[in-house]
Amino acid sequence: MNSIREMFRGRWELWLDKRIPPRNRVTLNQKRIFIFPTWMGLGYLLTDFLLFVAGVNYDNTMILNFSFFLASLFVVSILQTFSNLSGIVVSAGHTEPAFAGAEAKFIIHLSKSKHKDHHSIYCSWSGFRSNPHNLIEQQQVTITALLPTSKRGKFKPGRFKLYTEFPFGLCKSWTWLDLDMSTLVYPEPREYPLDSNRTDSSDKGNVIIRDGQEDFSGLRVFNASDSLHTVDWKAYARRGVLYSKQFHGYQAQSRLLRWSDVLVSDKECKLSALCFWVLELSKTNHPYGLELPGTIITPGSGKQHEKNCLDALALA
Amino acid sequence: MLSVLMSVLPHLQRLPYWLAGVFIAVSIWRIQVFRQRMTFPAKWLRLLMVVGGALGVIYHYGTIFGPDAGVALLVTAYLFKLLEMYTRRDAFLVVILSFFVLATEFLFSISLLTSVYVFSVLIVISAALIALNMTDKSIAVWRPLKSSLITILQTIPLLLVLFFLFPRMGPIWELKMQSNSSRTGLSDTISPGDIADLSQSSELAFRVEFEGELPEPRDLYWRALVFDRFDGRTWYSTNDAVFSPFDARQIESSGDALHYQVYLEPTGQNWLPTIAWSTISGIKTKKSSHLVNYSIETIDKAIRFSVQSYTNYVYQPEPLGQMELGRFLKLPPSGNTRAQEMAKALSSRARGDSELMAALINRHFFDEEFVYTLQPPTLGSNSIDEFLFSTRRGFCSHYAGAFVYLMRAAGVPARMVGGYQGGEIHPIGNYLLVHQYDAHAWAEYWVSGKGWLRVDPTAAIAPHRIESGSLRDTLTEVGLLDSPFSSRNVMNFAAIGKLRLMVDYLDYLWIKNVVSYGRDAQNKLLSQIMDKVTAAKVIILLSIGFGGVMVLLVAWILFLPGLRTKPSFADKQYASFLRKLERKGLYRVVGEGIDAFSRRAQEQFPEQKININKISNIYSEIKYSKSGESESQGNKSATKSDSIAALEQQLGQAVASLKI
Repeated sequence: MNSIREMFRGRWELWLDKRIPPRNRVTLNQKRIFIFPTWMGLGYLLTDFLLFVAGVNYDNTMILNFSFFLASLFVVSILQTFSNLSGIVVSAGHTEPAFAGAEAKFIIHLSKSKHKDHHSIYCSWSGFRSNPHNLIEQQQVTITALLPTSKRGKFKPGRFKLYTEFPFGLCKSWTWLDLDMSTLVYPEPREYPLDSNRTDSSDKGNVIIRDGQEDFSGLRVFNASDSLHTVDWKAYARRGVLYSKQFHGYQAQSRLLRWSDVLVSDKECKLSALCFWVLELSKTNHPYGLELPGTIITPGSGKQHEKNCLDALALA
Repeated sequence: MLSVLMSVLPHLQRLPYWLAGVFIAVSIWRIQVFRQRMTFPAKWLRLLMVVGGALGVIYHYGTIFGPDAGVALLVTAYLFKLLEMYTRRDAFLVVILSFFVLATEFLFSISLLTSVYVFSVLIVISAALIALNMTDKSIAVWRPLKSSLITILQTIPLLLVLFFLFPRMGPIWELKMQSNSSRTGLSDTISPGDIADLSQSSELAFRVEFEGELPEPRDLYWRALVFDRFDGRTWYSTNDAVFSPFDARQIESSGDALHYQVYLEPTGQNWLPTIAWSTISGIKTKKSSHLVNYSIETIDKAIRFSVQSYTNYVYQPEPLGQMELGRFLKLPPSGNTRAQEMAKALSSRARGDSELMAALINRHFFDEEFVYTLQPPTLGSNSIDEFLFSTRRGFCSHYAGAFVYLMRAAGVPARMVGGYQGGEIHPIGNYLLVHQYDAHAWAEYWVSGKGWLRVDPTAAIAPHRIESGSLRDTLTEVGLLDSPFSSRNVMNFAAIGKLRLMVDYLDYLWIKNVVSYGRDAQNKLLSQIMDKVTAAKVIILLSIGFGGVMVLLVAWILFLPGLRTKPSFADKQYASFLRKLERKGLYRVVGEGIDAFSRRAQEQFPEQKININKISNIYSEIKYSKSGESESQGNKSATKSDSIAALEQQLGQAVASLKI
């Protein structure tokens, strides 16, 4: 039973890929839009049918005409609902990675077709359901989708659905789009101890750099260039002279986070631990490097370096 | 909310009064909820209200079946649903119910006015539906209304196709309108005062469309019922079409036939008004030996039928049978002694000549101080005596009744005939309007060898009435109109009268052409375009029409918006430039400026740098100069547009020479 469903799903996706191939920028047209009555629409049709039967049986032309009117309205509503979606240009915006278990951010842009308004367009994407969006005065709206992640690695959320029931709520037109968007999901950071015996870089380094931020080393007379955060206000209260606190930073000797340093055997746990330490070390502005099976990132610091490391962890 | 009010409103006049109270209470409650002054009722209270409402309907109608009770129940449920409207789904349900309640209005009236009303409510309901689905709160209130108007405009072609071509079928199963709401119109009994009540009503009874010349007003005796039994106070009519059907051998007619169509308003009864004697086609009828036509089905909705009438006829010249004689001579065993005596006296004067007898009675009405009035004094148990000898005031049924009584007392078979007399000729439409106030009663008596003869005793006192063909004129002239606000008085104002006639004409056209468009009319219409109308052909035609309209609609809804503003030459050129680059895999990002994209393109295709630069520059120049032009440089615009033309030419060349 399950396998049949799987098979159908596979078929369906294949068919969709053929019909609406993944692209960065898509204009919605009849090839890409599906349409079907909503439950309310079906209720409406039932009402219409009942009126039709009543019209026939009471031999009442006007009730018959009324039911014809409702039917016509339904047909027009199909076209209008379709028209409300068609012509919109959907393009991929940027994405933001996330740690496993958190939500990754995907940005989609909808731009208005030239000559008509679009009302109440919703987006749903693997568990995410957007607020309605209107393209009336504004030329472009941005949908920010926060998608829950679970697994580390490259995250391709696949197709999302853009849909609308405007104007009557009788029909729903929708499209399944794949804008070929992806992002990385980093391992969930988890604190595991590192094997400090085996590493020469787990203790503080030898070189002391002045004006570091880590350890308090003494006071000196305030210098105009010193940060106000460093002023020892207590000392000022006692002596009436401004002193700056002085700290020492330690220049780590290229601290290297090694695959083998993590004392757990499970691969994912190891990655989680490395992720944790990368984040910890980033906070301290410490230069660090990363050594993974097959990948070595030379020590460095800064946002870009951190990202490189996390990317490597995500893809390991 | 408004849609609800409007869809229920027309029903209120028919529904029991307490429902109107419920309607008002629920509306106020609902508005208070909306203004957050009150909360929705608790669940138990709602349940209580619904059960109470249902019981109320059952108590009032004694049933929950049939259109009246059904609609009442529907409206009740619908009103209470209002107090349960939390979600969008509830609101949607209310809208759907609005459609339903609105449609049921047609069970009771199909006039143009109703239709126009229903149509405008439809616009409001659709707008409500659109508003439900609009999420941009900044949009003005009129926007949904406008959209709904446009949408309804779009439904019209489809509606027309369905209307004309959708195969009409007979009822799948018979449903009867068991309407117990009282209708104005003739009933099968006449008590003193009945017709006077009718005379106060300016409601339409029926319309008649003659083929050819209209007959003289004096011949327009619309025979509807024959009253043969009298109990001293009330005259009764027996529907004996089944037990004593019409026998064509008993009638001899001469002269040309009148052909006409009758559009009868619902009466809730079976009689069909025609000019005697007549044959009806178009509906199922039965004819009684009294020359009365009965419809097989109760007339609960407006119907149309064709009639062929011969006004010159001799009916039942042969001596009547014992049963018939007994029937038309029968009088209450006691009472009205003075009338009996008077009949005997007149009979001896007439020496057995029935026609002379009739003339003597009419003469009596004319000579004595008989007054025609719609407000006669009340009559007691000896009504005929009182009328003939003391009050001497009455209207048609008094005179006809007294006449028949006197004739019978003198041994002449006689009966009272009820129906309508005359009618108003519509100045534009060339048809006849017969109103309830044209209701009339006259008499017939039987003479051996001559059959039944018509006599109108009312003519003896108000001959003018018969001459002019309209009671209204007579009354106005004789000064009998006493209620200043009666519609008849209003009609004296020419302008309003004209307007009323105009509205009636439109209504007539509506009923004639739209409401009466049924199976026969469809067949007739289709047989003009095809040899033989078959269901298959109709369906094919319907599909063709439907398809055609769909193409039209698709064009209208999907492509028309694009045609409204044509892209300029420069836009087109730039678009083709973009397409060329797209083919090479370079896409302009949404919101990317012309210059920014130009720079990117130049990086990717350095060999076409000059061309790309040129195209972008010219295009942006055209764009910007255009927007600047309208603002400030009004007088320079001529030279400006010249330069734009030159720029466009350059742009075109540049795009053409771009080869990547």
